[in-house]
This record gives sequence, structure tokens and C-alpha cells, in this order.
Amino acid sequence: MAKSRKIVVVILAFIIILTLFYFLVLDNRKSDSNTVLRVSVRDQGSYFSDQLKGVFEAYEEQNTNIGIKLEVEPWEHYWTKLQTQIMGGMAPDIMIFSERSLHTFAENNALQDLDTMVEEDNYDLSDFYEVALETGRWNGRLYGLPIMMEVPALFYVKDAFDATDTPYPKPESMTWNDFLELCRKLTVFTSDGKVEQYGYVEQAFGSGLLSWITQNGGGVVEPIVKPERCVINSPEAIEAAQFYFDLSVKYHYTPTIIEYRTEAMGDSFQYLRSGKCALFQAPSTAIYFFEQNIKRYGVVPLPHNKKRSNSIKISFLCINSKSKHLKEAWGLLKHMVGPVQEIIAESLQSFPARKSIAKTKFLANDPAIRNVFLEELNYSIVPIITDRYMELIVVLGPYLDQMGTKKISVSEAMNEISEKMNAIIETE
Amino acid sequence: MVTTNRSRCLINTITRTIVFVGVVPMILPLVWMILISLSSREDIVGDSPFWYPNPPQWSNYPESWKALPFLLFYKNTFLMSVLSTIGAVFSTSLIGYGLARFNFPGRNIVFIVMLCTIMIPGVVLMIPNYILFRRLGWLDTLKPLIVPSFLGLAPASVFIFRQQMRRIPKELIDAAKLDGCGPIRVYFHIMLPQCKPIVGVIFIMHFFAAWNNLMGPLIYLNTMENKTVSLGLTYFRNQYGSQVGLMMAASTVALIPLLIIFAFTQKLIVRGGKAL
Amino acid sequence: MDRRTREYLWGYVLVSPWVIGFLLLIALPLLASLVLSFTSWNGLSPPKRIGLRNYSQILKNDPLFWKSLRVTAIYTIVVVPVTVALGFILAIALNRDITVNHVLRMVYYLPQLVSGVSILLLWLWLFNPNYGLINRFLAIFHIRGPGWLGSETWALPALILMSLWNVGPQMLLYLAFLQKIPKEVYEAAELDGASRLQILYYVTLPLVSPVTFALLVLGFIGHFQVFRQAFVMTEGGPNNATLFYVLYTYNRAFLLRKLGYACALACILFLIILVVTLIQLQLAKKWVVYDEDLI
Repeated sequence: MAKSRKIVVVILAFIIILTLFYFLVLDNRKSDSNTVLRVSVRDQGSYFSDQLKGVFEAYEEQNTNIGIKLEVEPWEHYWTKLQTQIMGGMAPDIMIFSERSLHTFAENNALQDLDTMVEEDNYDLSDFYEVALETGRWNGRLYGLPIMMEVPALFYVKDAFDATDTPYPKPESMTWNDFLELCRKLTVFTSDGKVEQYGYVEQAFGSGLLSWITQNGGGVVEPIVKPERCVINSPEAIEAAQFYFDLSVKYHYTPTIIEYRTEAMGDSFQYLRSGKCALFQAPSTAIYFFEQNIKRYGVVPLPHNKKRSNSIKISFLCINSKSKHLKEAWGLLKHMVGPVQEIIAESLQSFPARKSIAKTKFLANDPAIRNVFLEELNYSIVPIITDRYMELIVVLGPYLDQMGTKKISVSEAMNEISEKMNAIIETE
Repeated sequence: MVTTNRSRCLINTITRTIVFVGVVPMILPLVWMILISLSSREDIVGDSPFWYPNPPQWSNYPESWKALPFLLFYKNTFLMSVLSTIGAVFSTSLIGYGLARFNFPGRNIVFIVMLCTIMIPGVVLMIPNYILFRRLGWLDTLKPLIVPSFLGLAPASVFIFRQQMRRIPKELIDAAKLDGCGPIRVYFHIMLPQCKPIVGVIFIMHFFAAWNNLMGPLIYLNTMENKTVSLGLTYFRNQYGSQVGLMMAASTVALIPLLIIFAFTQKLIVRGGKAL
Repeated sequence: MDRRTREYLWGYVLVSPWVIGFLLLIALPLLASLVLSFTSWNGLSPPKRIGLRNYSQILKNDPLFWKSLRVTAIYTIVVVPVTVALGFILAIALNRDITVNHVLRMVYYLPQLVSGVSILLLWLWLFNPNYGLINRFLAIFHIRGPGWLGSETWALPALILMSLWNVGPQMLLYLAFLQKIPKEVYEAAELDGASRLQILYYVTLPLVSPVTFALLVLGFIGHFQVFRQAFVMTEGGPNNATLFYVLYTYNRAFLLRKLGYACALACILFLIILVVTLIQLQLAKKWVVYDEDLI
């Protein structure tokens, strides 16, 4: 009995020691003779990842000394994950940043200054849209090459219009008043006050707020780059926000924030799926969904009040400043902005940041719709460019809740937001 | 006032009824979870709270595994849980042994300090530990989640082992010493066997804690291949939150290994609970 | 080497892993946290010394600090005593050693077995105001269920309710202790003419007071650090209604990269826990009864 127990103990100890040995000694990954570049992207579906892998495999074949490891991370926590990786000194070589996070990391020297490489190579930047390039700059230097933009437009569901006998909207930007009137016609209430069909839904609650504000001539901060004060409590901004929240809280043409969370579980497309929506504000990436599920739809420009304007999001490919293979990463980056943008345009229908690709591969099947988006781009702005985006935007969240549930009046909320943002801007 | 038999019966019946009724909220949520995991979206948003999924969507299960690399998650979680639990059981029992049966100066201080560490919130150690593991190059590996368990830092477990080992009659050990057993032999041949039920309890405690650990993996693990099941489920909520059937399927699967392990050590727990 | 020295040596050797772990992973980090709390650090550039500014900002200029404290305090003050009481009642009710009781004990321990992110996802759905089981159940009685996790007033009660579901470990610990009380004690009390309630109050409660004490102390320490539920289910919302203190600290550290500030928050947490535990230890002398035979 004692002997068998001894054997068990010895075996157990052996296993433990072996595993410890493996972990503490052998686990340090062996580096090949190859240069391995790590590329990190957000998860945008398996089709996108597969296409990307195809591009990388082709590149690896042409450049046999380079291996590429694609890291696909879930959408929601992507930025915090990148942030933690950078903090932990283990950031990938090539990463995607948005116009909200790029400047923070540029400021902290986590991103490679690309101008030096552009100058060395005489790389031609003229094919990129100017608004995208400008946004990728910080302190006058370029830190990321833009790859895609989210330009919003107004989708409409033909069946919903037919159901209320409303004529389809014309392909021009309507006024706010016309928009409001259209929503009124399109919203169908049941006898007990519930909504059978919403006139208007946005891709996420609050996603269009900044566009509405700028359409009214307002803004969030001033100046846009390296803001010095918050202007979200200007009369124009308050008027716009009031208009926006009235849509849900006062008129119920659009779902309230509670309904959005509980009925749709935070997924606006649910309203489209269940046929409860007539107008839908979304970027061109929504086209895939419409093609699959709605089929009878159209796209028109966004409304305007004092001027036409929309707030866009831009994604950039950046290089880790601490990468051990800067030259190889730059080579891959240059390659990526071509083929990757084409993939993005074709498979995701995301607005590519290069003019040549936008005019050819983007929405190639529907030039009329493409023109709507191309036109909207003329009025696109990025409303805030700062290295403290995270801190500032955190102020906004709770107020959206409160305004959306009528706990606080819009003007009060905007004034408090402005106070808090100014306080943050003033402290170091 | 003496209780009559009748009033005693009444109290009994009332208590019994409450206890039996209380079973319902304990079990119902779990039943519901399995129900949803087999339902399609239409079933779920129907009118009545109960339905029979017609037909049962067994496809929810494999589909939920396709959404995220759960196979890798399970591998990582298993590795981490098993290793850290073995480490915890051995280290805490050894330390408990040292504190229980060896009289050395500072023994009480160590014990008291150990109990005091219970008061230290994990979050105050979070950032410095992160820095330490960053220095060591252990970030994005399972090492920060495994190696510390080999250092016996779980005061509760040490307490329990020490408690139990103090009770072992001295005669047993003296007899063993007469046979020429050194302390290590005593540990393996007397201490551990006598603590079998306790080992079961400690094993379960640590395994479950490791398996369900969220903050550790959240902070230390970066790339997808290295993440654990609890992180994977969190991502599920964010990305596929509207696909409830898939979410519940993934959740149900995550519970199965725990239930299996528990079933195996259940007898030990009951005995361990009594021995305490 | 004489016997005593050998004993000392063995003792030190056996305890050494803990000492190493304690120094490296507890004592030093604790000190480091304190030092970092006097700096401003964003994780990328070197930390900057700013003295007590973090603390003054926390105490004077940070409404979220007070909010998170309040949220966490309410949660703890409700959950800890109630779960301990429920655990006790269950233990009393299921004390007899019959098979039915064994099964029932298992059933009540089930929530503890399945605790983890899985069950949080389930509860997320249970609380859904439109399709969740809870509101549908209430609808049977024609009660209009509240917005639960989507509503500012009901989010915290929802999380509290969820925590009350899990009383297994408390019950188990009480059971273990109750089964040590010899039958004679009860019989003696009955002979003296005590009613069931009196036995409960004057005999059982004092005899299990060590367990009660341990559960209250450990319960406070544990529940005050609640994190997972908020992180997975509500992310602190809506409108910070479920912004628990540890979640707030985590956000400051890893979301906003204000690591010095986060360390200050953590040190304050430590202080709070320390003070409350010491108070509990002092009060314990008044009501906790130790019977050496039982321990």
C-alpha cells in the first residue's frame, strides 16, 4: 500500500516539476529566423478576417523572410485591450486606432511617426482624403494611415413608407422641419399608445447626436484640435440636442433609451428585423444588413438645419513606436492600405479613405447610393481631436441616460457637461 | 411556557413548506437557462414564461462555440485551474503543517500576519503586481495566475489545514518518528491521509475560484489565444448579447466541468464539512 | 544539530514559500501602491510626484468617489446580514440528518456551485424587463415589473437580489457547527421548560456565534470588493447606479490610465476595510461566545 502511494506521489511531483519547468523556462517563445509581424484588428466578421488572411499569405509569399500573425480582437473592449497591451509593453507591430484614440497614444509616444518614413520613401499621400489625413496628424506629424471611414446617411425602408402611404424621400438633404414631419407620418401608434412602427432609429442610441449638433452650427469643443473650452452648451448645441431628445422623449418617433436597451437589447438592427422602423441613420457598413434583410430600401443624405454636416469616425493603421521591425512594418503597412482598403470597400462596404478605391470598388453595384455617401463626405467633420478623449467622453455617458429618461432638462445637462469638460480641460 | 406537540407540528409544517417553496427559485433559473439555450429567438420573445422549444435548437451549442475560440479558452482555463489548485493544495497544506506541528519562534506572528492579509483588498495589489509581472515578461501568459498559488497565499486554506493538523493525535506522529520517519514522510503518510476530506474541500474551493476568476485574466491576458472561459463569456455578452440562445448555450457548457468535478469530490466535501 | 534547532529549521523551511510570497506579492506591492498613490502616472511615461493631490481630489472634487462608496455600502449592508441570517435559518431547518434534508441542502448549495460569469449572463436575461422570467412571473399576478438593470432605481436592488440567491456557503458553515452541538444541550434546555424560540435565542445563537462573527467579518470584506457583477452586467450603469468601488478603481486604472489616482482609491479602500474590521473585532468581544470544546 505504501509503495503504490509513493509511486503516485512521485509521479505527481514529476508532473508538477515538468509543468513548472515548461512554464518558467521553455515557454519563452523561440524566435524564428523570420521576422514576425503582429497585426491587430477588430473583429468584423469571419469573412473580413479570412480575406485579410488571404492578403497576408500573398504578402508572405512575396516576402519570404516575413511572417505575419493576425490577432483579431472583439469589438467592444478593443481599445482598452490595446491600451493595456501598450502599457504592458507588448503591443503588436501594426494596430488599428480610431480618431478618438490615436492622438492619446501619439502624445505618449506609443505610435511611430510616419512622416519620416513617408519622406524617406517619397510615398504619395495624395490619394487619401484630406479630412482623413488631417485627423491622423498630431502636432503636425502623421501617426496613422487612414483605412476606413464611417460616413452616416439616411436609409429608408420602402415597405414602411408604403404602409403609411408616404412617398419616398428625394435624394437631397431635407430640412429639420421636413424631417420631423416625415417622422410624424411614418410613426404608427397602436390604440393603447404603444409604437408599432418607429419613424426613425439610429444605429446606436446617441450615435447621431454630434451630427445633429453640428448641423445646427454648434460644436462640442473649441478649437477642434487640442480644445481649450467646451462649447456644448452653446444655444445652437442645446437646440440641436433638444430636437434630438424630443424625438424620443416628446414625440416618441424614435425609441427611448430604455426601450432601446430592453426591447432591442442594445441592437438597433432589431427594429429593422422586426419591421418596426422606417428611417435608419447609419454608415455605409449597414448596407450588408439591408441587402440581406430589407432588400427594398434606399439611401438619402442627412437632413440639415443651419448647414449640412455630419460627424464621422475614421480608422487608422498605426505602427507601434517600440516595434522591433519598423522597416518591415512600414512595408506591410503600405501594402495594407491598398488591398485592405479594397477588401473593406468590397466586403464591409465601409467607406475607404482612398479616393481611387472609393470611386471604384466602394458600392460598385450601386453608384447612386455611392454618390450619396460621396456627397455626404463633403460635409464630414471630426468634432473633437484631443489626446484626452477618453476622459472627456466619459462625462457624456451618464447625461445621455438622464436626458433620455427626462431626469434632467437638456439645457441643464449641457451646462453641467460643459462645466465638467472645462474642468477636465483646465487641469493638466 | 412549554410547547405543545400541536404547536410544534405547526412550526414544523410551516418551516417545511417554506423550505420546499424556496427550492423553486433555486432551481427555476437553471432550468430556464437550459430552456433558453435550446430555443430560437422566436420562442424566447413569445408570450408565456414557459414554452417547449419546438424544435429544440441543439445547433445553438456548436454555433456558440464557433463565435469565439472556446476550445482554446477551455484549454487555458483547465490548465490554469488544475495547476493553480494543485499548487494551492500542496503549498497551503505544507505551510499549515509547518505552523501546526513545528514550534519555532515567529510561528504565531506568521499566522497572525497571514490572517491579517485577508483584510487587504485585491485591488490595492493589482497595479504593483501588474508592474511586477510586466517586468518579468509574464504578461499575456498564464503564469501570473498559476505561480502565486504555489506560494500558499490563501489564508483560509492554511487556517483550515492548520486546524485539522493540530488535531491529529501526537501518538500517531510519535509512532511514525520511532519508525524513523522524517517530517516529509510524516507529511505524506500521516498528515495528508488524515486530511483527505479537507483536501477535497480546499481543492474544490480553489478550483472553482480559479475557474471563475475574472479580474486576473482580464488584467493579465491580452491576446485571444491566451484568454479564459470567463473572459470569453464576457465578450459574448458584448458582441452577441442579442442572441440569447447562443449566450445561454455557451454559459451552460461552461458549467459542466464544474459540476463534474464537484460530483466527483462531493463525498469528500460532506465528510470535510463534518470534520470542521 | 539538536532536536530543537532541527524543528526550527523545518518550520522555517516549510513556511518559507509563504514568506517569499508575502514579501513579493503582498507587502512590497502594498508599499508600492502607497507610494504610487502620491504620483500621477499614465502607464506610459514615468510617474510624476504630486504629493497629496490625488487624495485631495478624491475627497473634495470627486462625486463618483462618494457615489461608488454609497452604492457599495448599500450593497454590503443589505447583502451580508441577510445572507448570513438566511443561511442560519436554512441550517436550522435542515439540521436533521435525514435524506430529504441532504437533498435540500444540495439544492440550496447549487447557486454557489454555478457562480461564475455563466450565471451572471443568465441573470442578465432573467432581469430583462420585457422577456425575462422575473417580470413574466410577476405578470401572472398582474404586477408590472420594473426596468431592473435598465432602470436607475432598480439596478442596484436587482444585483442585491441576485446575491441573496446564493446562501449555500453560509448554510453549510452553520450546519457544520450545529452538528457539533451535543443533543444533551437541547434536551437540558427543554427539560428546563424552554420553548423552541427560547432555545433558538438563548442556546443555539450563542453557540454558533463564532460562525456568525466569521461570516459577518469575511462577508463584509468580500462583498465590499464586489466587482464581477457590475463589470459583466451593467458596467456601472445606468448612470452609475451600480458603480461599485472596485469597478470605479478599475476604470480609473485601465480605462482612463490614471494609475496614481487608482492606487489612492485602493489605499482608501484598504483603510475603510481595516477600520470596519477592527470595529467588528472590538464589538465581537461583547457577543461572541467561544466554547473550546466545539472548536
